[in-house]
Amino acid sequence: MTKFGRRTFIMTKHKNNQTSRIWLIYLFCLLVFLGGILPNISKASGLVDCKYIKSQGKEIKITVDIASPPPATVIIIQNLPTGVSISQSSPPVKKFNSKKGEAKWLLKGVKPGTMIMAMRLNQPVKSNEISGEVRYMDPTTGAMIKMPFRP
Amino acid sequence: MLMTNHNDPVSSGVAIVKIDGDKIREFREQKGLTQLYVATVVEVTTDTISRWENRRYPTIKKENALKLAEALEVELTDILEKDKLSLDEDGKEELRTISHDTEINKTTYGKQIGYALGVLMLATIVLILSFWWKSTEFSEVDIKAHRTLPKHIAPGQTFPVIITLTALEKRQFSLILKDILPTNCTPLNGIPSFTAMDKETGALKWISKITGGNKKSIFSYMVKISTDANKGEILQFNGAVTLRKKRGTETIILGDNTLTVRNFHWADTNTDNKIDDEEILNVYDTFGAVTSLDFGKEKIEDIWSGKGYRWNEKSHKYEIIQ
Repeated sequence: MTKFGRRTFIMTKHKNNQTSRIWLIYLFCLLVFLGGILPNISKASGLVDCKYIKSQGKEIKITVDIASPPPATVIIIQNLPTGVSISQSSPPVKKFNSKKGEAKWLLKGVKPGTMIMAMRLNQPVKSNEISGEVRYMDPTTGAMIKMPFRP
Repeated sequence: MLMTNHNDPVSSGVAIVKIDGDKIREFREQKGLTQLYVATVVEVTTDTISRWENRRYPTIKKENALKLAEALEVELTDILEKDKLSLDEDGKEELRTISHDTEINKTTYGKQIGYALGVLMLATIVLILSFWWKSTEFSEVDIKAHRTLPKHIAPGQTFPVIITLTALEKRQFSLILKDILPTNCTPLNGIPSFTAMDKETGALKWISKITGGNKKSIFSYMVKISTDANKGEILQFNGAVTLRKKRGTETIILGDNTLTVRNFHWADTNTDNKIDDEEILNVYDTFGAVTSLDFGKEKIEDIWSGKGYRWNEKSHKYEIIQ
C-alpha cells in the first residue's frame, strides 16, 4: 500500500468503526420496533383461511377458518374448468359465471370459527383443475384482502 | 510512561500516557504530515495537536496516543516520554495496559449504547405525551359524532345514513342528537326510532342515552330523495349532539355531509354501472353493522350477481343486466 493509501486507510478506518457500531445499534432498535408491529399486520391478513378437504371427483369440500375479529362479509370464489357447473351446494352459490367457470358465495355476518362448504358438480374434476380465492375487507386497514388457495 | 487517573470517575480503567511533544513534532515533520491531517485521524482539533507538540498538554488519553502513533506511522512507545523503569515493572505495566485498553473500549461502546437508548427513551416519551395530549383533547370534547353517507344517489331512490357516537369516559351520557336533512329528502325508518321529526326544518331528533368508554353508539335511518331532484345537485346535511349536562354546547357531526344527485346506484362507488366484489364488501362493512336497517341489500346483491345495471330515466328504477 502506498503512503497516501495507508494514510487514507487510517483516516477512514476510525470513522468506519464508530459509524458501523452506531448503525448496528439503530438497526437493532428498528428490528425490535418492527417485531412489535409486523405480527399485528400479518395477523390481519390471515383472518380467513380456506383449505380443500376434498378436491377431486364430483364433490368438492372446503373448510373456512375465520379468526377474531372477523370481517363483516366474506366472498369465496371457486374456479372450475370450462363446462363444469355446480348442481348443488351448501351454502347456496350466489353468482356463477359460466364463461369464466367462476362461482361466488357471499357470506354475511360471519363469526369466528370453522365452517364447511360443500358442492356437487355436474361432472368430475381433478385436483389440478380447480382453485379458489377468498376476499374480505381488513377490519383494521379497510383494504381488500385477496387470498388464493389450491388443493 | 503509563499513569492512571484516579480522579476519573469511570475508571480504574482510563489510562493516561505521558507523551513527548518534541518527538511527535519530529515524526510528523519527517513524514511530511500536516497538523490538520494528524488532527483529522486522531479526531481532535489542530489546536490540540499543537498543544501536544508544545508540551502544553504533557499527558493524553492512551486511546488518543494510539491513534496518534498510527497517524504518524510509528509505535506507541516511540512517542511516549521515556522513563527509566525495570523490565519487571514494564512487564506489569504491559498487563495493566491491556486491561486498561479493554476498559477504554468498554467505556466508548457503553457511551454509544447509552446515547442510542437515550434517543429511544426520548422518542417513547414524545409518543406517550402525544397520546396523552390526544386523549386530553378527546375528553375536553366529551363526545365525538361521525356521519357516513354514500357519495351519490339517483332521483327517487333511498339511501342509508349512519351516525356513530363515541365518548371516552366510561359513563352514561344523556344527549339530544339532531340531524337536518336537505329540503328534497324525506326520512324513512330510523334505528333507533326518531323522538321527533320537524317537517318544516327537516330536522330529525333523538333523545337518548349512550354509554361511553370507546363503545360506539349507532343511530341510522333511511332517506328517500324526491324524483324531481336535479342531476348534479349537491345535498347538504347538518347535525349536532348536545349533552344534557352541557346545555348550549353542541358537538358538530363530522364526516360525510354532502352527496350528489347522479344516475348511479349509491353502492356503485366507481360509477361503472356494476357493483363489484370490493364495493359489495364495502357496503356490508359500512352499513351491515345495523342488522335491522334495510338499505336495499337484495337489489345490491342482484346487481352484484348480474353483469351490471342501467338507470331508467322514465321509471326511475335500476334495471339489472343479466
